[in-house]
Amino acid sequence: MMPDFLNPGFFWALGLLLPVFVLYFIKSRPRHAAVSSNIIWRIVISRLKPNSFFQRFQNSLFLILQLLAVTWAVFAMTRPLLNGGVGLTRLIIIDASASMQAVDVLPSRWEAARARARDLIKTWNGRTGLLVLTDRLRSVVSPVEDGNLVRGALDRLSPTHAATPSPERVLRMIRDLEGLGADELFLLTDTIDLKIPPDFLPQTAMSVEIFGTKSGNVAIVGAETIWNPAAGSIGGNLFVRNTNAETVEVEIRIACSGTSALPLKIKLAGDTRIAVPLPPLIPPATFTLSVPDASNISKADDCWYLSDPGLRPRVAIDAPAGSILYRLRRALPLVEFLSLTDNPDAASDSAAVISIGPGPAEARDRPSAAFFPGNSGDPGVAPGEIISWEEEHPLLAFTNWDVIPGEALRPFSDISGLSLVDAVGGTLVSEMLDTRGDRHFPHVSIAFDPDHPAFRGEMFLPVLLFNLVEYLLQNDFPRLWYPVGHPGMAALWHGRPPETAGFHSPPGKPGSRLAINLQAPSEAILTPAPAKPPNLAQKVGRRVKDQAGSPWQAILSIAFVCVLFEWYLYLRRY
Amino acid sequence: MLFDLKFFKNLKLLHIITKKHFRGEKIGHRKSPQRGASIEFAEYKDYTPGDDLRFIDWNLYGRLETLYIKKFHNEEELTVSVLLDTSDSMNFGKPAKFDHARKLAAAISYIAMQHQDTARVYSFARGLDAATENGFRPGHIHRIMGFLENRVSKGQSTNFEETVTHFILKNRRPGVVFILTDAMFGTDLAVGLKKLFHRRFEVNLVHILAPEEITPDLAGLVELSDIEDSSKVTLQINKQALTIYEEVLKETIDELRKTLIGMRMRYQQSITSTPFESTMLDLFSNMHHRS
Repeated sequence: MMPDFLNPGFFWALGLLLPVFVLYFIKSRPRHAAVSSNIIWRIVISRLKPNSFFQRFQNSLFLILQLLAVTWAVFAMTRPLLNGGVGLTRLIIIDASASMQAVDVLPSRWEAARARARDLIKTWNGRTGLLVLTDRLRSVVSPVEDGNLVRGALDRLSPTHAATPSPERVLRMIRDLEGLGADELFLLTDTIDLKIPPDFLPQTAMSVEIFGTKSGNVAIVGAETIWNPAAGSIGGNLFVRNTNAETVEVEIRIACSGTSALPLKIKLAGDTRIAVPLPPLIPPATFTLSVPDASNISKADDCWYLSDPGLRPRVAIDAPAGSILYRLRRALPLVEFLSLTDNPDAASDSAAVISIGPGPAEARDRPSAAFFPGNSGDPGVAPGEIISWEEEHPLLAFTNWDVIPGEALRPFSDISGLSLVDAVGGTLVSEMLDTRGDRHFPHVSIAFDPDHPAFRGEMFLPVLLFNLVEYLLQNDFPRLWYPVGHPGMAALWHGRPPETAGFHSPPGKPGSRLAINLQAPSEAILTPAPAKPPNLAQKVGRRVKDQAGSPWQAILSIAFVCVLFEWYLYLRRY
Repeated sequence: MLFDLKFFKNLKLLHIITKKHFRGEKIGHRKSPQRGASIEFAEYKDYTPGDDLRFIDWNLYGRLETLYIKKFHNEEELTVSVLLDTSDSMNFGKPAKFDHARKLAAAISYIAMQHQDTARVYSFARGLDAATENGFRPGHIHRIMGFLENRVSKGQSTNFEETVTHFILKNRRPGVVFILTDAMFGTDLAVGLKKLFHRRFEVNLVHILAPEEITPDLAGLVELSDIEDSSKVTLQINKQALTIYEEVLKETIDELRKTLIGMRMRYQQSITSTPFESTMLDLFSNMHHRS
């Protein structure tokens, strides 16, 4: 097996062999010496047999030793790694996001990256670990000595329609691998432009290798749909993006039962994103882009799927008639909202309960949300287990809490230090996690009055309510389509949700068919990022390890021994 | 100055001893087995008519009344020939072998003349040098020195057999021969020596070698040029080659020595780096021992 070299550039120094040759033959022109008689020397020649192999070898011994010395010295300077990383760990992260299906690199960016990964496995004698990067970083094979095992797992991988997270998040995920003690890390990707800090993983030489040469692409990057439950149809807009510099003619083909919609033909100006209005469609529907190949290097983002998932979760609302909470019926037609006032038993078979004031007793057995209007005499929510959120709480996303009028607030002064959000000196939202068997569900307390007139005309409340229903229903929240990697799908597929776009049926729900899309504008941008070699600190760290594992001193010693031997021969005229 | 007073002073005590008797042409200081007219008494013999009356010992007749004739030792000269190799190979070494050989030739000639012997110095290369074939008589030491002083080695390879043939033609009467040479003649040498042996010459071969010939200071790829015949040999000289060279040289010397001993001749090696006096002492002490 060919060894790796730390300084392969030194192989150019083998050119020194030429001057050694030339000098030797210049120097080895016979010196003239007068002798009294050649009689004895002729006898010496006859005995010496100068043309014998041994004599020829002996005569060339100086040259051989010089060549050997130069060769060994050059070999030592290249710092060979004969053990090929024995005792070290190499991690290979292969990007399986949708953009890797682009074909600007033949056969595709994915296949090129996989071939490179095979090389990396083959040329390594230490432990190798394989991870795949989609919307998250997933370990495929933990670091093992057996390269065949890793190669087998690599062969079984396939590209997905997942979108890669932001470079910052990728860096955080890679930083989380520090515990594996990797000595080398290869990220095989195409578009992730990591801003690697100088002190990032100083003990791991991280190389970002980029696969991709072009960036021209046309993609469906999103949809805006309205579900009409009465007609059972969908309307809305489809968003198409052209990242080419020039205008591209695009045709959108629609496959939809009961609809005779003609293909939509549009002209997309260079580097634009447009909304294409959709005719009323009865799901399921599939939209497919048809774009000239020269302008579209990736077909992974050319399809869009819509379907009615067939999930009708029921939510009980315990609020006075005319409360704004009942408007959720129009806003979320895929969810069935029942009023406890009209139907007192609705709470017992609903998936969640939303109430103004303390909810019914059944609300203790299912996810619930209770609004506590200001200035009421009710006590605050009893302290319970408060979830500490590493990131932004789902309920707090996209909500502008500054718009809450002071009179609508009811500060939870008695839950000090356990708040999710602190505002005006008290707690606005608190949460208690309840457990029934192996099921966990939240009880959310919100300390304001949703029907306060000050909220009218503010987007704050609709956003909060949408987030609240989605949060309470968690995995059962129905959507006309799911983005690949949506966390709600994980529970439906028991932890292994599909990562490719299309229609998929979750296990155990035969009547339900989910549309899963590559909904990632970032994946439509296929501009290759710059490759990144290990930074200085990593190089230094790796060099120290490599030099410790390189036998270059021993090889240099061999060269030195050759020189010494030649010197010895010279001194004793061999 | 090749020869100086100190050079001659050190030689006065030496003289040439031969293993056998050679009949000289003239009377000299060397005792002869022949009875002659020297003043040294040898023996008595009965008088027989015809004997020279001048040698009757009358004192003895007075005591014994019998006539006895007194016999005296005869004293003859010895012919000492020095064959000096002047081929190009003698120019080799520092100091040159030829200079060393010239000194030896001068010394031997001087010692011979000191004892009333005839010294003949011949130089030879391809053949015997015609200018020297008549030799030098006692009293001509200055001529010998002059001759040797002006001699230069010639650019010819040696033909020793021809040289010896020519030498024998010039010297019908055997004597002592000193051959001062580096013995780089190949098979010629043995043939020439055999001729000298058959003519009963007492041969002393002084093998003159330069230190560079015994341990050559050569290494690496060398083109060796024979300074006599300009032939060239290219060889990678290393330790092994030098070892073989030394072995071959030793074998050559041993063979030469064996050849000489087989013909009851003497071999004396003389290395140019050793002091001249010690070479002379070695040469003459060996002659004493062997005689």
